[in-house]
Amino acid sequence: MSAVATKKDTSAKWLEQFELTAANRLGAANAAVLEKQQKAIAGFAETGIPDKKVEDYKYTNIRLYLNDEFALKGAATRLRQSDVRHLFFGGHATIVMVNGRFVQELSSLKNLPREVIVKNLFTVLKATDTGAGREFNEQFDEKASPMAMLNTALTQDGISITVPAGYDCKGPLHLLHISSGTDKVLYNPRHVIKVGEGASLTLIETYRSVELTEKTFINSVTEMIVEKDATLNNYILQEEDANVSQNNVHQVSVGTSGKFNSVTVSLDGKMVRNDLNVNINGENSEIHMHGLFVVKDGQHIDNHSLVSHNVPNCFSNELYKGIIADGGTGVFNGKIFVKQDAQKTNAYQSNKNILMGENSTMNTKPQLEIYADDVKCSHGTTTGRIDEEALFYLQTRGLNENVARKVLLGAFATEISDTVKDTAFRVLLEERIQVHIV
Amino acid sequence: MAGSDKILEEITTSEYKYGFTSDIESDTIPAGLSEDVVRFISAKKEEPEFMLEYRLKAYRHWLTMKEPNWAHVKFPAIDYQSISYYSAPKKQKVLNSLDEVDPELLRTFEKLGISLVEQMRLSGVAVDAVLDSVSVKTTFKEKLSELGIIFCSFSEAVRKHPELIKKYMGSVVPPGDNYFAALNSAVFSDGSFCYIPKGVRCPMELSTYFRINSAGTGQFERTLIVADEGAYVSYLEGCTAPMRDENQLHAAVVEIVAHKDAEVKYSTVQNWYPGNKEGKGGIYNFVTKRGICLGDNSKISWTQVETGSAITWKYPSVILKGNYSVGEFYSIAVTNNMQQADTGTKMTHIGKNTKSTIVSKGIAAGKSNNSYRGLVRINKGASKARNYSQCDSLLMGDRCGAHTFPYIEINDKTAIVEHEATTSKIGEDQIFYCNQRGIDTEKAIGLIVNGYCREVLNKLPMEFAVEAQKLLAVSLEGSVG
Repeated sequence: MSAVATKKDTSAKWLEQFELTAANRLGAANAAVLEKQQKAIAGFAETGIPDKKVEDYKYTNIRLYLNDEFALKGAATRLRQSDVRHLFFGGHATIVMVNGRFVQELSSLKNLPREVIVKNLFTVLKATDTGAGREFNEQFDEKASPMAMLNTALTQDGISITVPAGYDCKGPLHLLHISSGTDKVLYNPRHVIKVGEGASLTLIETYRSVELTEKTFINSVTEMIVEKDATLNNYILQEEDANVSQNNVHQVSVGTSGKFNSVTVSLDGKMVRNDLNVNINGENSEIHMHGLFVVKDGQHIDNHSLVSHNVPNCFSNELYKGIIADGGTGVFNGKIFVKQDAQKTNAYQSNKNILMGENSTMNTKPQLEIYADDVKCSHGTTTGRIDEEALFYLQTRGLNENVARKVLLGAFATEISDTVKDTAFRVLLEERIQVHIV
Repeated sequence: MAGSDKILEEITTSEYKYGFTSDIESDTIPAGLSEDVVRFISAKKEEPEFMLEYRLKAYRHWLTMKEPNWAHVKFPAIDYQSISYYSAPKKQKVLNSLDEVDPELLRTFEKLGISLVEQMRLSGVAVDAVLDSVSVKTTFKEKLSELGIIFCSFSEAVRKHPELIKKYMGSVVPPGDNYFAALNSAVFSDGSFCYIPKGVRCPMELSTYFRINSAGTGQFERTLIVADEGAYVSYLEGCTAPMRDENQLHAAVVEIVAHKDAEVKYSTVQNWYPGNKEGKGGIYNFVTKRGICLGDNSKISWTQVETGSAITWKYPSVILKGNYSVGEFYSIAVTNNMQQADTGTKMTHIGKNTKSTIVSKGIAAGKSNNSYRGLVRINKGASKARNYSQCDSLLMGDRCGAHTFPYIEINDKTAIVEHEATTSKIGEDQIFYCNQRGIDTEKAIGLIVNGYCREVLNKLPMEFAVEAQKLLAVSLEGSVG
C-alpha cells in the first residue's frame, strides 16, 4: 500500500534523529522520562507526520509545513536585551524563551515573586527521582496526537513554572516565546505549569519572531496542572511572522473546584494549529475558553479544542471567533466529551466566523459526544459575511467604508478581548487586533 | 424517580411486533460472493448486457475497496461470503391481479399493515412491495400509466425502459461511490423505479415496502426516482424484517434526480428488526441515499423516521446543483436497548442562491448510541447559499449516548451558515408540570416526545405521520402514551 510507504517516509527522519539526539533529550535527565520518550517515538512511528487522512488533521495537512528538510538544531542565536525589550509590557515579570529554551539574561525577573519557582524543565527533572519523572506526560493517554507524541519523544527542554499551594500570585507572569535563527529548524519545546492547591496564577504567553530569516516549525506541548481550588488564567497572543508554522498543544488538567480561563488570540504566522485539551478531573470546576483568530492571505489557522467532562457538576463554556480575509483558511474543531458519570454537566460551545474575501475558506466541526443523560450541552456555529445594513448605517453617519468595516470587525473581536482581566494585556491585544484587521 | 425507572424498564422490555417470519417457498442461492454470483443474479433477472457490465465493473471495484470504519458504531466484522445474495419468493409467471399472488405473501403484508387490496381500494397509495429481493406487486400501475408515470419494479424497468436506466442509474451514486454502494451496484436484486414526466404532478403518494424475510440473506435493493421538468412526486418507503438471531445486512441505494422546477419528497419510516435487548440479531442498515437538484428551482426533501435496525448508518444527501434549488432533511432517529445509529445528511451547495435546511431529532434510550453526522459544504461560486441546521438530542436513561459530528466547509464569503445543537434529558420540571395537571408520567413523556418531534412529523404525509407516531410509541413503549 502506498499510504504505508508515505507514512514511513515522514517518520524515518525523526526516528533517526531520535537516536542521534539521545544525549540531549529530556530523557538524559531522568530514566522515567526516557522510557516515555521511547514509547512516544514508537507511537509516532505508526502515523508519522499527520496528513488529511488522520481525522483530527482533516483540514490541516501538517506535511505541507513540516518535511525532512528541517533539522533539530540551528546555529546559535545572539540576541541582546535591546532586541527583545520592545516586546515587554505592563512591567510584568517576563520569562524569555528563545527557540524553546529559557534565556535568563534576556528575561526580566525582578517582579517575579520569590514563591514562584521558574526553572528549566531539564534541571527540574534531573534533580528529582524517577518517581517525580513519572508525572511527566502522564496527562496524555494513548490517544495523544501524533504531533504531541513527536514532541514527547524529541523534546530537549522547556520551562517549568510552579506556584506553591495557597499562594495567590498577584502580578501576571509574561512568558515570551521568541523564534529566531537562520536555519530551517523544528523545535520541540516542552513546558510544565503547575498551580498548587488553592493557588492562583495569570500566565500570559506571547509568540513573536525576532531576527528570523528561515522557515521554522515550533511543535510545542505545555502541560498545565490546576490543582484543587486553584485558578489559572492563561492568555495567549500568537503573532509570529510568515516563516513560522506552529503546532501548539496545551494539555490541561483541572482539579476539584478549580478554575481555568483561557484566551487564545492568533493574529499572524504561516500556519497555526492550537490544540487545547482540558480534562476536568474534579467536581465543581469551571472552565472558560475564548479564542479569536484573524487569518490573512496564504495563512492557515486551526483551533482544535477538547473539553472532557470526566466528573459530575462541572461547567464549561467556549467561544471562538474568526475573521478570515481573502485567501485565508480558518478551521475550528471543538469537542465536548461527557463521560457516563459526569451527570449535571453544563457545557456550551459557540463558534462565529466572518468571511471577508472571495477566496476565504472556513471549515468548522463542532462536536458533542455525550454519555450521561442529566446534562445540558449545546453548541452553535455561524458563518457569514459582514452585515451590509450595519455597514451602510455607519456610512450614512459619515464613516468611509473601510473605517466602518474596521469598526464592525473591532466590535466583533471585542467580545473576546474583553474577557482578559489584565488591563495592560487587554490594551496590547486591542492594539494588535486593530493592526491586523485591515 | 421511581416512576421513570419503571418506564425505562418497560422501554427496554418492549417487543418488536413485526418479528414474524412468513413461510413462503423461496428461491435462494447458496451463500457467497464471486463474479459467478453476480453473473447468476444478472442472468436470473434476464438483464441486458449493459446491466451485467455495470454490475461486474462495480464488483471489481468493490474488491479493491476497504470497509469504512469511521462511523461511531461498533459491530463484529461482516463476513461477506456468508451472505446469500439472492432470495426470491418462488414464482413462475407474471402476475396480473392480486388474486394470483401467493396468499401467504398477502398475509405477510397484511400483518405489516399494508394489505395490498386495502391499499388499492381505500388509501389511494400506489404500493410497490419488495419481499427479500424481489418486487412482489405494484398496485395502481394502470392508473399511473395513463399520466405517463412509470412506477414499476427495478428489474422490469431494466427490461422495459433500458434507455432511462442507462441514463440515470449511477448518475447520482456512482458504482464506486463507497464500499456499500459498490456492493449494492454489483449484487442489487430489485427495487423500485419511478419516472414522472414533464409537468406531471403525481396524483397519489407512491410507496415501496421493503421486507427481509429469508434467513441468511442480505437485501440490496435499488430505488431510482426521476422527476422531469416541473414534475412533483411524494414517495414513501417503509421497512420491516423478522426477528432472527443473526445480523442481516441491508445495503440499499436510493437515487433521486430532480430536473428544473421539479420537486421530490422522499419519506422513510424505517423499522427493521433492531435485535433483542441484549443486542443479539437485528439488521445492519447501511444505505446510500442521495438526490441531485439538477435544474434551477428544483427541490428534494428527505424525511426519515428511524426506529429500527441494530445499526443504522446512512446519510440521505442532496447535491444542490441548479440555481435556487432547495434541499431539506428532516429526521427523527430513535435508538433503544443496544441499537446504534450514525445518521445525518450531506448538503453540497454548487448552484447560486441555493438553500438547505436540516432538522435532526435524536432520542436515545437504554444502552443505545445515537449520532448525528452531517456535512454542509458551500463550494466556491455558490454565492448567497444559505443553510440552517438544527440537531437536538434527547437522552432517556444514563447508559445511552448522544453525539453530534457536524462538518461545515465554507468556501464562499456570501454564504450564511448556521448550526446549532443541544443535548438534554426531559426536564423533571416539565414532567412535574404535567403531573400537576393530572397527566401521569407516562403520558407526560409521550406528550413531550411528540412535541419534541413535531417539527419533523409535520413534514410526513398524513398516512405516514400516523404510522410514524405509532412507531415512536412502540419503540419507546411504556413511555409514550
